[in-house]
Amino acid sequence: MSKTTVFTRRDFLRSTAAAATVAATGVPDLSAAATSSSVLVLRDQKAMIDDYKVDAGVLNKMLAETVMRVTGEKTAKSAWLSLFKPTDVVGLVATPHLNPTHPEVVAAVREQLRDAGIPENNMRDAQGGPEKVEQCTALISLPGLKAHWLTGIGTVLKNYIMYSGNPEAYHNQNNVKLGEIWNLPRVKGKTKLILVDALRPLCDKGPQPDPRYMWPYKGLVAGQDPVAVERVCLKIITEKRHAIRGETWLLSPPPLCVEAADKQYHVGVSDLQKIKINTAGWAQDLLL
Amino acid sequence: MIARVMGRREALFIIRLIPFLTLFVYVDQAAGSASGLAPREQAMTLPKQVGQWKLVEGPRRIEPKAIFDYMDGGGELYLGYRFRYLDVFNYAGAGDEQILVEVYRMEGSDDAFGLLSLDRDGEAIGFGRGESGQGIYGAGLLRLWSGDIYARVLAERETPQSRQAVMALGESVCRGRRQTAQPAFLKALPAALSGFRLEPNRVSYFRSYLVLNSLYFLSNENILKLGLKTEAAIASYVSGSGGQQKRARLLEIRYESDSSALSAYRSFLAAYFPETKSPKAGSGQVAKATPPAGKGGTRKVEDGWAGHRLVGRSLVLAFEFPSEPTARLCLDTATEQLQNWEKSHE
Repeated sequence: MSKTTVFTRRDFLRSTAAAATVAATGVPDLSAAATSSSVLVLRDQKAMIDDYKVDAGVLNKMLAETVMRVTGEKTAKSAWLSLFKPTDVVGLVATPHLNPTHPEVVAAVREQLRDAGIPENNMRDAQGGPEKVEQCTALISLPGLKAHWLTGIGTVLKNYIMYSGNPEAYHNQNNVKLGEIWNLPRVKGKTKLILVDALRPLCDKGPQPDPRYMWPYKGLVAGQDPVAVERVCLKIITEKRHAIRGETWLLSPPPLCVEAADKQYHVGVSDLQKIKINTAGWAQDLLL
Repeated sequence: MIARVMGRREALFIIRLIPFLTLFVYVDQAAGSASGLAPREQAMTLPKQVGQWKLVEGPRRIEPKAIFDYMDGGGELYLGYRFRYLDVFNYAGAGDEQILVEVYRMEGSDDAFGLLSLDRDGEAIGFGRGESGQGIYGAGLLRLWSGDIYARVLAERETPQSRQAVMALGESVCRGRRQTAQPAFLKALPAALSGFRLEPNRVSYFRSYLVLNSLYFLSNENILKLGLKTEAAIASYVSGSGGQQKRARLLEIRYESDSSALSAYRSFLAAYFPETKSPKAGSGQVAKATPPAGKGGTRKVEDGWAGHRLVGRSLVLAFEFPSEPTARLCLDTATEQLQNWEKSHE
């Protein structure tokens, strides 16, 4: 056991208390890497038929609005083209199994990219090993929102674990290093959009599906800062857990990888106070 | 959303008669002789049709070495217990709505029970009057324990019909089997501790530190040296009521030998109380790094008072107690219960 890597419950409680003190006093946290980020949470009550099946038409409108709001462009086409060039090889990185990304989400992204002028043969299913990401010039991360019993949350940061070429090195106690993968030369700077499928998230016991902890949130969570998007997703999951139990019900283990991705690997912003959360659409039970 | 089951442990497994289920299942059975199965042991036989759901795949045998191919990121849970193999059955209904049946065969009943004990929120179900198996149902997912089997029966979408089919499949899994007792080690947990009472629905049995961390995060490293040769239980205890409730935890671990317990104890103390490496004499709050067996100690930490004691081949650890006396009394009570159980067990 390497003593330098031991992180205990006590360490976690101390770091949480320190963060709370910073929040209460307004003293800036000088160790934070980035300054601010924005994340969009867009929902539509009609996104799922009978709270179960995706309504592709509604989803398509949600996606167009999402990409316009994230980029500040006035049309979906210009929004997509502000992110990608027709010459880009665009990798779509969905979660393939165990609460997978809804295929309708991947299909809608493909369709809108195509409509914007990205050739179909320039799009790749880019989930997989290093060779998948190496062939792409740009990426869209498309994970499903879910808790994970080994990492606390298993959504944005974990979505690129296969790009490491050595996923075992990021399992168990080493999951705290997941942010490191986003800095690999074959990955860094390629991700133009993080689009989380939050249509029917899972707030406990992931990655195996457990419908007791799945609910029709009917949302998309999007942004360009993977850590900030993950942090907002974490907030949604945590608030849902509290609502289910009617008492504080924190994720266990704590998602240490999120803060580490900010403070240690400088991939993005993990401090909620530095994240501007923009919301649109259905506001009931927003959990933010 | 969730029907939460509260009350005594005995009340958890409400005995429910489901006699109609046998009529719901087609007599024709799916034999476990499909190709790809290990020849040494056939898969369980399940119905070829249940209500409108027809068996379209399986049984498919998943051996331990292939579990990550089947469930990347989820396999560690089962390997954290003494897992032998998994048989998977897929049923398809109208509109292609599926029911997935996963039958996990474990080395022992304790391991199968442990998996069920990780989460007891839901509706308690007894199969064969509780003598064949016990399950917990919620929102389309039935999890059950029957001897050395842990099973998940998951309807893609919960409807009255799918619920009926899920229950029928659970009944089929348990049919002809004889339920076994809960792990004997759980009897080492006291029903009450210094003003705190046991929450029966929040008692979990496990062997792996990864499972411990999913229940109660202690450290990213395996500081307690848990493994397949250890058995452990963590229980929640509560005092007060309503908004004044206070929770504390008791963690008991039984090792293979006194020496392995001592080694784990030292590892825990060094990692969890690093400040005790240079104990200050007379502080009254500082535990020595390796106190004599049976002594242990208490210490004020970030979330209350923690206690620790080595008792033969077992460790008793207390967390989140409101005061030093309550933590110490917890250790005393738990030690007495553990020693009494050891005597009766041996």
